[in-house]
Amino acid sequence: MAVNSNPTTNNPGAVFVATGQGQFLHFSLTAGGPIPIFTFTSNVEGTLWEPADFPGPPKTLYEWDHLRNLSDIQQLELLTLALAFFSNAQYTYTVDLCDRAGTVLQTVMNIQYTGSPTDYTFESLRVIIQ
Amino acid sequence: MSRPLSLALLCVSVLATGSANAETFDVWLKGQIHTAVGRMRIGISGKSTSRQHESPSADDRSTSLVDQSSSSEFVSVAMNVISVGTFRPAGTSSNSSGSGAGTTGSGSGTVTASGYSLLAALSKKSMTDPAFYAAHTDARRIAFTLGTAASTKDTDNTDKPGAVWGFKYLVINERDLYSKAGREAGEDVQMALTRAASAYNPLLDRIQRIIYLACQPNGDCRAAKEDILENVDPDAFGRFWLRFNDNMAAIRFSREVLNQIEDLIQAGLGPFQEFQDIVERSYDRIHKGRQLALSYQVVKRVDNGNDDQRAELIYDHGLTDSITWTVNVSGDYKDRKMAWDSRGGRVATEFKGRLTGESGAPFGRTAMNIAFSGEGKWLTKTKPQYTFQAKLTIPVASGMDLPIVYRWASRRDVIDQTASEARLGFSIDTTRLAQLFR
Repeated sequence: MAVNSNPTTNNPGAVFVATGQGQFLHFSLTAGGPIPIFTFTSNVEGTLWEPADFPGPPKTLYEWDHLRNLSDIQQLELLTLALAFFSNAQYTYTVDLCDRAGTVLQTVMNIQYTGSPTDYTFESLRVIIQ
Repeated sequence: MSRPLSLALLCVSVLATGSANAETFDVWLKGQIHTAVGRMRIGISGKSTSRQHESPSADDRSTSLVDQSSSSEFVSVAMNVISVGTFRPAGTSSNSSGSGAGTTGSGSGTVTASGYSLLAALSKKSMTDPAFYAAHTDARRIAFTLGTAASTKDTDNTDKPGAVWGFKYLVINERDLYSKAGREAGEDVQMALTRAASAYNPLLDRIQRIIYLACQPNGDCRAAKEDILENVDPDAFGRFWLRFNDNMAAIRFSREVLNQIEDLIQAGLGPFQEFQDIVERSYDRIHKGRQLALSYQVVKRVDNGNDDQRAELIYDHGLTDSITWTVNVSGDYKDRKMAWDSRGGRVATEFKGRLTGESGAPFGRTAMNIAFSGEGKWLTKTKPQYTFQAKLTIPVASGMDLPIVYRWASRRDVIDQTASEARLGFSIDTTRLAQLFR
């Protein structure tokens, strides 16, 4: 079975972020369980997040921020979330553009995925620093 | 893969993409990789065919002739609803009463609950809570069964229903994701995914730059000069991909650009091929894992009815992705209160195959499957009995299965005559069913 993606907000492919004004990206990944397998990578910094980076047993919600630290800011950075459905059949991936205070300015994408155990998928987003 | 062939596949894929305007760049690129890898998909089988949702075999009215090593992970209810027809050799007559034939009987049914489901209920936790599920792997090794078995005068010395109870303990369990084998398989998949993602980023970056430099804002493309790939204006680059990311069909690739993309994909295939190999190997490792269970089942009957006891060893093994082989070896004891007891043993085997794919949803519908089984039973004071069965299990909804059985026995219990009959059952996996109403 191919991966079935059901977007509420489609991946635009690129997002403009005014890091000078304190804007950053907030990522959340929900997983039904039992064992989510994912990798969040940057073409500049390599692997940024995996389930093992979140202490404790497998979770139903994983969240992280990007571009909050000055050292993260790279023009044309490519951020990719890779999902494996081996031991978790459903994921929902959300990316929000937030202001300095953490208020959501825009939901960049919101997509629900369903797949079978041998499926995998990638979701990439290009960051354009303004 | 030869270049003309892979190029043809790439073109076919690009053309196919053209009909799906909503396809994003990621989906498009993954399609190219997928085509190049020549991936063979294999169907979902998170819901193992080795799980038994029907009543145990000690209940003569069960639709199971052979017991499976594992029960439902949660709670299942099985009803051996009706015998839809009993067929006798010409010239013989039934000497039974009530519901008809000796092996016939309606109203039999059982409830099976895993130790895990009881623990979850006592802890007031959701059975699908990932943390709770992970922490109580061993509680899924044990299952308890309670229910009733219909009785008939000629075989059970009473027509009052018997009480069924039993338990099953999974000694070897190589199919649970939290078993040692399951954890190792998951870790292998995680590492392979990280390697594939690390290879995906630079590949995607380069291909996006090639397309941006080769293609006009109206989607017409020529060849791209690879020596200027780094020289892109971020703002224009971002706007180009905002326009085309989910509209890949609007890009009219030239042969030169397709060649460039194909060369890049061919050069970077390794981690994707490796991921596919590892995920399929890991899947097989779990799916074909061995399971060995010990089981004890009793049917107790009131008054002077016969009691049946069975201590059983159950082994099953996935032969292929869709076929599971099961063997039962049991010691049987029939306690006749008005006659000599019978002691003996039983050997049974079953081949169960999946006929359809399963829903990708975690609590979705299971596959339709077919099983062929045979049993030999040897008891003192009775002649040997050989039974064969074919069973088709139809999933009617998520969590609800309808087993249809045709069974033939060389002789019925204590009576020297062959018998064959069709049976219909009904089984419910309560947790899967409950997900429908969430």
